[in-house]
Order: sequence, then structure tokens, then C-alpha cells
Amino acid sequence: MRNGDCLVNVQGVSKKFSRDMQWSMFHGIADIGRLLTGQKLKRDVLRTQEFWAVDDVTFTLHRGEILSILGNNGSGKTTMMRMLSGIYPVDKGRIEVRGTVSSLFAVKTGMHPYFSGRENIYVKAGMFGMSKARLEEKIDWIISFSELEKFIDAPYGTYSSGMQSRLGYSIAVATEPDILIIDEGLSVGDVAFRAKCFDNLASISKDCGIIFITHNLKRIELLANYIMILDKGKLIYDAADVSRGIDYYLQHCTHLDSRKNLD
Amino acid sequence: MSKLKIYTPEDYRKYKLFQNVRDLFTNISEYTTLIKWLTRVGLTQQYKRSFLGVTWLFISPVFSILLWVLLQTTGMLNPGDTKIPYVAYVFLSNAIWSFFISFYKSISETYTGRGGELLHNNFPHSIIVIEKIVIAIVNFAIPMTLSIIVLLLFKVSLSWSALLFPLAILPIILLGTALGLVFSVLKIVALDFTTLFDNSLEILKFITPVVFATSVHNATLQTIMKYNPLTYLVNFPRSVLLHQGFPDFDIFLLCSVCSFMFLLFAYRFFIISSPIVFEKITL
Repeated sequence: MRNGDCLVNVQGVSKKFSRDMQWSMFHGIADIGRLLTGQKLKRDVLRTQEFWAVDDVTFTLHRGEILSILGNNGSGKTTMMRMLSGIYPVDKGRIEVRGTVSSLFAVKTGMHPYFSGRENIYVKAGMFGMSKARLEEKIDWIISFSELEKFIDAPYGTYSSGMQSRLGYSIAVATEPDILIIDEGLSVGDVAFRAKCFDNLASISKDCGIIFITHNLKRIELLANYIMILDKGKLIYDAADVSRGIDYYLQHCTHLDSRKNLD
Repeated sequence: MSKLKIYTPEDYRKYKLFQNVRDLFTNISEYTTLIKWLTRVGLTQQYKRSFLGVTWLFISPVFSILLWVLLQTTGMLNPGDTKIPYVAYVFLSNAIWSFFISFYKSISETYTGRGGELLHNNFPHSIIVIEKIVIAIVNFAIPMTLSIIVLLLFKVSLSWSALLFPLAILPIILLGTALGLVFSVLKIVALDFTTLFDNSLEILKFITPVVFATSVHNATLQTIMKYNPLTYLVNFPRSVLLHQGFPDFDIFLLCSVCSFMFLLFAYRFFIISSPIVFEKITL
């Protein structure tokens, strides 16, 4: 285990957000002021109304691994993935990413309802940084894998949410990234297609590293070979024994920190 | 071995302006296909639900030109024997002014309008800016070309110096882009700045010779216009197109250099501050 080359190395990474909109704006203006006057930003301390959305998280991902991240809503899973993708800057710590990253967050964003599925493939693949020549090679695969042959020239807006997620998933996989991040992108696909995706994930995972976020525990147990549990931004559990990780989550999920102030 | 990327809290201080500009060109060449598709989508999506489709891009300007022709042929709004018809003057000034505004407006909406795409996909933010620049140019070039054809039909003398027009209009585009870049970031943290500026633009239009000529009879207005850099940035391209020589060429050149410097500053500001405040977008 853990013998593939290291693709992602996350060391003590933290990210803070602000709960209050006015304070968030105020901090934003203060940050811009500091940038303009050449001062250092206060990134490692919490200011008024700020909290750590991801708090001192350390982990690695190696080639050939399927890492699954579990956690209640708001535990920092997506924020962590956005930092890995280079969308959010980190506030503390260091992330090393070796190779290309394709991340599938919300399948619908960046897609245009009036344009056909085919046209949207060009847009979305472009966002993944795929060149035109590369896409021409893969476009037939995308259309056949997403099982949208009959609908590919119909407007994207007429697709059901399942069809939309099938297309999104197919494009992301077609980019053949070193690191593939799927953030609940498959939750709306039908059972048959989901099964096909999981088979596909298992087969491509030999050549890349996959991070998979879902609340489908059964799938995690079948597919993942590494598990992490986040709670209120903190990494509270990580192990290669996926079944034990799931048991731990099931036992503790109702009284984790993220649910404490709900009662 | 594939490329290693490292993210740290100090990233924003890592690169100097030169590197930022080089990155821009690397990004453009890497994402050419995306720029092409986004531009295509941006230009055509409003016409998707019509039968004539993109033909509307050409039909709409024809209507404004028809109005112009009507005004011209009936002699309305033509005060006396000016060399260039007054309507043509206002028409052209307005076109240049709205071109400037379209750059500012569309680029300033980079985050407020397209934040979702940027939040869910990791492509460089400057790609959206480039897309908006291309769209603004196309949206200007089509009616402009049609208008020039009409001007020629009306025997408004256009000389070869008119070919310098695209070059002469460049500085005001640079200024519009620079303002757009600065306000796209400010719009995330506080709309107050943008709203204030948008309102000031209305005033700015009246202290720039868009509707009135520089020879307006009010002394105060004349002084303001004299010190308003936009006066020169609007006057010069218009004069070049209408073959009225190169008025205040030295001041125009100075304003152009300043616009370019401001654009460099704005781009730098955009690159280093947008990742810091980008996360404050609420969708």
C-alpha cells in the first residue's frame, strides 16, 4: 500500500472564512489596502468573525489510490478540494500537486442551457485545459460513455439532471488527469450509470489518484482504498482500513463537533 | 515527471509584474480554444431563441443607422453649415464613448457575473477578461463598419488617415479595461465603490466632449474639459476618422502612455488581489 508516486502532499493546510458579510467585506478591503501598501497579509490569525473552515489538515495522495473523504455538511471537504485545485489560495501550510488536476464540483456551472451538449463539451473541456486536438480524439468517447448519442445535439437545458451529470463526469474523465477530484458529482445519475462510473473509476485509478467525496457509504466501502473523515475543518480520522473508517463515522457522525450546536 | 505545482500562503508575493504579463500570454495560448468557445457563446446566446440567430448582430445596428439617415436627409438636428454634420459628430462620439463604457462595464462584471464558473473550474481568471474584450470589440466593430459605409455613402470625406482609427482608439480601450479590472475586484468586497463610480460616469460623459464640442461657450466647462484626459482620448480618434487632422497630438500621446501605465497597474492589482478576495463571492 502507498507505493505509487506521491501526487498530492498537503502539509498543515488551513483556510479561514468569515461568517458575517459586512465583516468579510471589511477584511477584504483591509487586505486590498495591505496589498497596495506592500504590507504582509494577516493570513495565519483569525480576525473578528472569522473561523477556520479547514484547520491544519495533513495528508498525501499517491498514484493508484482512491481516497474518499467523509464528513458532515460544512466540514470543509469542498473547501479542501478547491485549495487542491488551485481555486482558493491557502491561508496556512503548503500543498504540493504533481501533475494535472481535473475537479468536478457542480456539473451545471459553466454549461449553457441554450447550447447543445456537443457545444458544451467544447466549453467544459476547454475549462479543464484540454486542447482542441486532444478533445477531437476524445469527443466520441465522451458522447458514447455518457450514453447521450441521441441527445448530444439537443440543447443542454433540456437534459435531465442525471444526463447533465453523466456528461460532466465523462468530460472530466476524458481529460485523463493525474488527479481526479469528484465532489458529489454523481449523486444524481441513475443506478446503472453510477455502477458504470464506479467500474470506470476503479479501472482508471491504476494510472492516477482519485479523490472522491460522496455520502454513499456503500460505494466508498467497495471502491475506496483510503479514507479520511473531516469534522469542522479538522482531520479526525484517516486510515487505509475503509470499513473501520466507515464504522467510526457512523458511530460518531451524530455527535461530531459540526452537529453540537444544532440542538 | 509531470509538472509540480506548489501552493503556499505567500503565493501572492511570488511573482513580479513582468512574470504576471508573461503568464497572461501563456494562458492565452494554452486556453485559445476556451476563449474561442466562450466568445462564441457570449456573442450568440442572446440570439439562440430567435429564428434569424446571429443575423441580429447585423440587423440591430442597421436600425440605428436608418434613424441616422432619416435625421440626416430631413435636415433635422443639423445646425447650420458645419463641415461635418452635427449628427455624425454626436453619433461617432457616442459610439466611442459607449465602446469605452462597454469595456469598463463588462470587465467589471468578471466576478459578480461569472464567479460561479471560476469557483467550480480551475482556469485562469484572465481568460474571462480576454473573452469580454473580444466580445466588446466585435460588438463595436460591426456597427462601426456599417456606420463607416453609410458615412461614405453620404460622401463624408474619409481619407487614408482613417485607417489609423483602430490605433487611435486603443488608448481609451486600455483605460476602459484598466478601470474594469480594478472595479471587478472592488465589486466583490463592496458594491459602494462601483455604484459611486457608475454614477460619476454619467457626469463624466458631460464633462467630456461627447455631446458638446470643446468649443462650448461655458468657461468653467471649457476649463474642466481642458484638464480632462478623456477629452483627448475621445477627440483624437474621432478627428482621425473624420479627417480633421491630429489635434493636441502631444497631450493625446501623454494620456495614452498614462492609460497604458494604469493598465499595467490595474492588471497587477487584479492578479494579486483577486485570489485574496475571490473567496468572498457569495453565490
